[in-house]
Amino acid sequence: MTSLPLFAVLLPLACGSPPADPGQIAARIDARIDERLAADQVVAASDSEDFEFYRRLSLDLTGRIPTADETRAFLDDSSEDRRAAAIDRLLASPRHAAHFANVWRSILLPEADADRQVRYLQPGFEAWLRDQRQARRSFDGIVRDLLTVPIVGPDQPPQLVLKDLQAANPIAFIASKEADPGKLAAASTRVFLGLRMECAQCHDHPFDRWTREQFWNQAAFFSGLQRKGRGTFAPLIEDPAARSIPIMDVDAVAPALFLTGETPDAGSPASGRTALADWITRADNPWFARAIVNRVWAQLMGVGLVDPVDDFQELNPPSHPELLDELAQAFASSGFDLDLLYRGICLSRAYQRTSRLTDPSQSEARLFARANLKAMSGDQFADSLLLAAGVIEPDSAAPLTRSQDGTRRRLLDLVAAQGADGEPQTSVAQTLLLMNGRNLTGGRAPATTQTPDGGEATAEEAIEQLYLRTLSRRPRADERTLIEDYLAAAPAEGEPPLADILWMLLNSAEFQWNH
Amino acid sequence: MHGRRGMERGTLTRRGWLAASAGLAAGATSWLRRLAAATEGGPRPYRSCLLLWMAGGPSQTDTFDMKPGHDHGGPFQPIATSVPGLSVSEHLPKIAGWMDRLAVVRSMSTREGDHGRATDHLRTGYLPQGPIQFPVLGSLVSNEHGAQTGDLPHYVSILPRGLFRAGIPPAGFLGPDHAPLLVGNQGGEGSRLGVENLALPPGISSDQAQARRELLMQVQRPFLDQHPGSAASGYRTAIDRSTRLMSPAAREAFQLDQEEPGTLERYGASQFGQGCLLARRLVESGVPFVEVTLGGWDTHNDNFTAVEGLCGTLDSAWSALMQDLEERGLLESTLVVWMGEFGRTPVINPQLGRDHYPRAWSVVLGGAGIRGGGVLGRTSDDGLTVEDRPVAVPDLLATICTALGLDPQKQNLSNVARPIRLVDPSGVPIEELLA
Repeated sequence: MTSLPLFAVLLPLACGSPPADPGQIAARIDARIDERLAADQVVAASDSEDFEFYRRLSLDLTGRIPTADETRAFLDDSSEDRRAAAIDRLLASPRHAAHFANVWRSILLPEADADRQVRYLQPGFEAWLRDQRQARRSFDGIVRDLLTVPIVGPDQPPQLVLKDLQAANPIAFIASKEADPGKLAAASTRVFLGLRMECAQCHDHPFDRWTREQFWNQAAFFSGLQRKGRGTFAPLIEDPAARSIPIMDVDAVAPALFLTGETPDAGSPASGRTALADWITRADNPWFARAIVNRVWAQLMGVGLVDPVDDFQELNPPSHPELLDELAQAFASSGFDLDLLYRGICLSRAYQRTSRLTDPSQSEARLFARANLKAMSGDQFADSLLLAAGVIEPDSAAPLTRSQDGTRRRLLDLVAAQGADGEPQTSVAQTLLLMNGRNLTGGRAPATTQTPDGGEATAEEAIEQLYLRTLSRRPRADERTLIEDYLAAAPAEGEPPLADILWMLLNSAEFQWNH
Repeated sequence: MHGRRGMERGTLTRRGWLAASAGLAAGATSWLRRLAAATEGGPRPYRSCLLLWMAGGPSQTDTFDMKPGHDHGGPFQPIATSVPGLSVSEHLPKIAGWMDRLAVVRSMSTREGDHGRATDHLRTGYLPQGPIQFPVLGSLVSNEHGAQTGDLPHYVSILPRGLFRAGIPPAGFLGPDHAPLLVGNQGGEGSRLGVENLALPPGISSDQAQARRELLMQVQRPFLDQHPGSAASGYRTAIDRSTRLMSPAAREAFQLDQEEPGTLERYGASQFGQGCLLARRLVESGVPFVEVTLGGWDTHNDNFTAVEGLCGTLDSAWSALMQDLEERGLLESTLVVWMGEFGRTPVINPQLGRDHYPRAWSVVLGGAGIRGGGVLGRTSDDGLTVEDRPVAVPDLLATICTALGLDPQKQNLSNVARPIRLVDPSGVPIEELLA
């Protein structure tokens, strides 16, 4: 029980002097990545071109491709620090907070994808996440508030889960897990510690060293929670003194006990949830900083240093163990500052490399010799498509949530995420939608007959505008030639041929992938 | 206990199947020959699966496990069938004539009473386990058939309203190549069934469509070449599959107006009837897994009116399907499965309804690999408990796989880099049902 299963490979974070500013973090990343590339005799790909970098950065930080105007401004900026400035600018935008909320909603509340009732909780939960990020909350603070959301004591009238659809509230995490101690323990350890303990719910973990009792030790921290009634919206109460739980199907009771073997402070009047949240978010928790750093790394780099991101265990070592530790240390000692982490990774040469294969040695995604292709989430794809197709206006106001826009909702229903991890996947449903969908290009001529300053656009200008809107770059000469030949050969009747060019661009892999 | 004809049928050999399919192709119309030609040469012998999915959970007490004379029995009377001693509801008179080709399992015993979780369980064979994305049965079968070679995909789901949830890829870790092609009500004249976005938008000629598709592949060739890998090949495959699906030959498979008016009439005017007719055409064209959904079985209120109506719809469509499959020599290579996510309470509630009931309920199997004409398992006189031969979800799925000629213990690599068997290893095929 007091054995510390992972400590052979995963020590508490050392207290050296971690890289402290984004530049230092980027330098450390490149040193570690390059070291490994050299050892494996892999040639790193060249730096990305500006358009490639900016499109990737926009998708990664704000959840959609840039508008034509944003792209043009960036491409025409010749200042030395334009990339660093773009990182700062996009991190500060309200779209970044919205994208952060989408990403973490799907991690923390995956039930909303499948369960209509849980979906009612989604707007308030996303609003809460958005507010936290917009206010630059530290990540440990976000996690602590999420786990310790106040719930009334057993002698009071039970607390409603849903009072106002739109009001920011983190209680959806607990409600979506049905306030069930086992489900909450499984989700918290998986998301915040990168550990998969679900299998240990019914038996000792088959591939790992977690015991069934340890799983229930974690569940015991949530054992005071009670639903008064059935269903997702059943009101809740909590007995803050509860610290133990019966083990399923066995005649035994598990006390609340941390995975490090330590016992929570018995005299504390706070609930078990508070004790667990405090322990999870401690700077010296051996898993928390690593698990979060790894998730953010995977979001930006396409694959985690530990892959899958929630499978920290001896048989699944990190690709770059020193780098993982150093990033975790930097993150923890900054007070879990997400901006530092995003800046550090995005500034690295590893992040800014081209995704093109420039040498046959670059096939292994986990070596980061070139930028990995990333699947777009449903949200990223829907927002990018609606923007590029001219269905929504490129305003910078708060983004649409799922429930606020019918077109977006239908699109999300039709086009699921392009695969959860790894390379983008293309479905026939998505392809048919893009090839034949009536509301995307049909019936709406592309709004490119005017130049940005209001004049009548030539065909050449119109093509450039379409490229900026969809692929976030200007067309190359060889592309212009092919397109001009196509336009010249097009018959006079039928759809305007420029609509075919927009069709072609929206159907291209370059548009559909985050590359 | 088993019917005469069921006892006589054996497992089809490779030779036997090839002979049967050759006979089919010879008698088929030109489009069918073209489709058949596309799959000639390479593929192994296979069986098709036709799943009639009864969304909401159908009442076993009012269909295939009647309790006449008991308070729980309700107003419906049992009628005799083509199998002596086996009776079904009076509202299934046509299916009653096919019971010698069908096997009833009256001892389904499961644990999930929530629509979503039970649906996932019956359709994937697994209960949710953390992040593992389990594929549904149709996707598993599709995967066993490998890459699509003809114009049609391996898995088509007809009228799947509410069956697949937004954001959840039904093929799970098997990826989009094995996701179902969805066929729904396209609205408009006569509420036709069709595939969304399959037709070219108005104003786009097929010449223009082809020209711009060529432009697309030409312009992006450098990009795809510079990004080799599974994403690029998957993208090319999706474009290719979509284009083939838009071909006249493939679209013809969806055109029900090519059928005789009498055929349409036999299946019934309902959407489900049309769906079953379409399913037959797809099975004929070589699609190995087709499912058709009939919703409305969630009869918490006024169960008997609803079930009578649903049975009418079901009875015509299903019996027409059986007849057509048999006449075309396809029943021996097509497994037909009738099931929902659970049964309904034998106890009748005050609203004259029946509620969710996973503890004791029925499914029906027939056709390929199944001995028809029998009943497996028994429920108590009040219908509340299974008294003989309880069947769990993995047992049912293992039986379906075995009847289709698939090994339930075969493993696929999952999204969490762990091998997952086609069917939960606890599943044991029901030997009594297998031919």
